[in-house]
Formats: sequence, C-alpha cells, structure tokens
Amino acid sequence: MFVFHRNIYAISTCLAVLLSGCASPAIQKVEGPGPLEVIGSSYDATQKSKDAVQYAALVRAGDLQNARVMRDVIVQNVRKEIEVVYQDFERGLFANKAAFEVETDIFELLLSTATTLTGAQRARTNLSALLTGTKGTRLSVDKNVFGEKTYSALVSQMRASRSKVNAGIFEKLAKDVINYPLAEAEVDLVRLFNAGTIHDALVQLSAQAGAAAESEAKLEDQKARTKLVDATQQQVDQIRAIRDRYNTLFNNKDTSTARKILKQLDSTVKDDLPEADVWKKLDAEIRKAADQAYLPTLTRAFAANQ
Amino acid sequence: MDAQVDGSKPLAEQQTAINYAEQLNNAQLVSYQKGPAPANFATLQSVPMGQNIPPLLLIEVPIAASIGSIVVTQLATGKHLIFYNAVYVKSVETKVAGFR
Repeated sequence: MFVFHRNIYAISTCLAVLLSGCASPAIQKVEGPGPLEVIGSSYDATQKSKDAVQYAALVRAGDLQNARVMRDVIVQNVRKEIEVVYQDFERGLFANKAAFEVETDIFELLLSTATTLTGAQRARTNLSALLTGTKGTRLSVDKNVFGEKTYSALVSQMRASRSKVNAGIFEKLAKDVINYPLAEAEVDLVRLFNAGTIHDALVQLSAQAGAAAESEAKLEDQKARTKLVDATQQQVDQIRAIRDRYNTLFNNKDTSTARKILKQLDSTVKDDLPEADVWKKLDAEIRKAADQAYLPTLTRAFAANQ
Repeated sequence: MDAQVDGSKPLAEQQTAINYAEQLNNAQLVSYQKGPAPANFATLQSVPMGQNIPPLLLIEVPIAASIGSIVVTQLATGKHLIFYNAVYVKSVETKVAGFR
C-alpha cells in the first residue's frame, strides 16, 4: 500500500499557506512531519507576507527597481520550496513504485491540484474539494499498464513540464514589475506546482497520445491514398486519345472492333467472350497504362484497329 | 478514388499528373486541396463508360488577383470552375482554381 498520503496533505497545505500568505489553515490533522519541516524551510508564509507588503509599498512609492528585487526574492524563495517539495515527492514515488497500487484512495490523493491561494478559506475549500470531489471519479488506469514504463513516463513528463514552466518564469523575471508583477509571478508559481503533479502529467500524456493518434491517422490516410505518377503532356495526349477511342467504340456499340483490339493486347482472350466482358477487359487493359511503359503497346493496338 | 499529388512539383506537372490519372481511371477530379505538406489530396469520381472527360486546367490565383475575373475569363472559353482551394505548388501553399 502506498503510504504517502499524509505527506501529500502536508505538501498541499504548506504550499497553500505559502502562496496565499495566510496563517496555516486548519484543514485536517496532519500526522507526522511534512517534508518542509523535515528539510527545514527557510521561507514561510509569515516572511512571505512581510515581503509582499514591502513589495507593494515599493511599487506604490514608484521605486520599481527595488520592487523588482523584492519580487525576485519572493519568487525565488517560493520556487525553492516548490523544488524541495517536488524532489521529496519524486523520491517518495520512486521508493514506493514497486508497491504502487492503482484505483485506491491513495492514488486519488496524489491528484494534487494547486489552489488559487488567495485566502485561508479558499485554500480550505479547495483542499476539501480535492478530498471529496475526486472520490468516486477514479481514473481508469489499467493496472497492468501502470508499471515501470508508465512510472517513467509520468516522472519524465513531470520533469519536462516543470522545466518548461521554470524556463518561462526565468524569462519573465528579466522584465520589470510593470510587465511582470508579483501577482502574475504567483500564478506562474502555481503552474509550476501543478506541473509536478501526477494529475497534470497524466493530462499532458493523454494530450500527447491524442495528438500522436491524430497524426498517425493522418499518416495512415496519406498511405492509403494512391500516389499519382508524373506524366508528360505527350503521355496525357496519348492516353486521352486511347480513352476517347474507347468511348467512341462503346457509344457506337462496336464490340467487334473492341474485341479485335483486345485480342491484340491479350491473345488468350476467348473469341466467344460475352459483350459486357469485352468492354470490361478492354477498360482493364487501358488501366494497365498506370505503368507508362505499357502506353506504346496500347497506342499501337488502338491505332491498328481504326 | 482518393489520391495524392506531389505538391513539391510545379502546377503544370500536377495538372498533367491529374489529367493522366483521369483518363487512365475513367474518373474526374471533384476535389483538390492541400494535405500534410507537401502532399495535395485529390478525390476522383468515376464517370459512366462512354463519357468523355474534358481536360482539367489548373490556374494559380495570386493574392492580389480576383478569382471572379479569372472565372469570367474561363467561362468565355467554355470552362467552368470546379474548385478553388489552397494547395501546395513547389511546396508553397498557393491558391489554385481548377476549371474544366
């Protein structure tokens, strides 16, 4: 049984507090120390709240340079906490993957979502929704499929998603506080947290599988289509002349000439071949010019029986 | 019949390829549009035995040009518009009109 749930409560709770700047919400009794307490968090919600107040004051005073410094301090500190929590989470996943069970309450608890984190009540509501909303809506994951390969795919996806969001944050931190205010940075930090969840990884993997399937379907469609061969204008004129001649004979019900042409092209054709079959077989002979090397043979046969 | 034409070729070569296929298969083009680059997707529909298939003419329509004026010009020669779509010509997405 995968017993990581108590840490997940702690993770969600601590981050909710950190990003909301509020005092710790009384959501549920947490058993045992959470990862932040064990590792020794150096940046808690109280400090963050003070920094945010200072940031706001600097912005109001028009001291944008120092405001940017304060913004960056807050962002980097919260990033560090998210990183610590994620690394601990991934270590826990690895340590327990052999005993990982699907379709259990424990699996549901791993579906962490970030809260909007603007207040203790909302944080509590969000986490309560996490606990109650996911019950009865279990992911349909094939137990046989969820093995070594899927574990690797999930971790790879989480790492890739986190790298992408991290890169985006770093890029935006080059902007001033007008173009990248703290509020926007906090949204990105929530995205960073989300990117390190199994839920997000599964969503990303599903989207990629869907896109891959669509791409595969398009490729299959393309493979199923007949590739038209190149042709010169002379070859087009030749095949048109042959087809026009065929049509004239057909419309005039000149089976006799058609039979002669057919006999010249295929000497094994029986003399008593039914009329309908003469036209079908002659049409089939024309279609052999898909190999354009057959075109001169066709031209000669039709020309010889004008 | 679902077919594909090499959109990396010039329009004139695409035209001859389609015209050849029409006569070969006793079918005429009813749809022509770009597929995954640089392929163009063509749909040919069989015609009854004995029915002649007039030649297909493909015309590139420049961005600044009016399709209406091109249609009028072709109508004067007895040709009717059968499609007007984006297709690949020399691997570049291009608006092309088909007349017969």
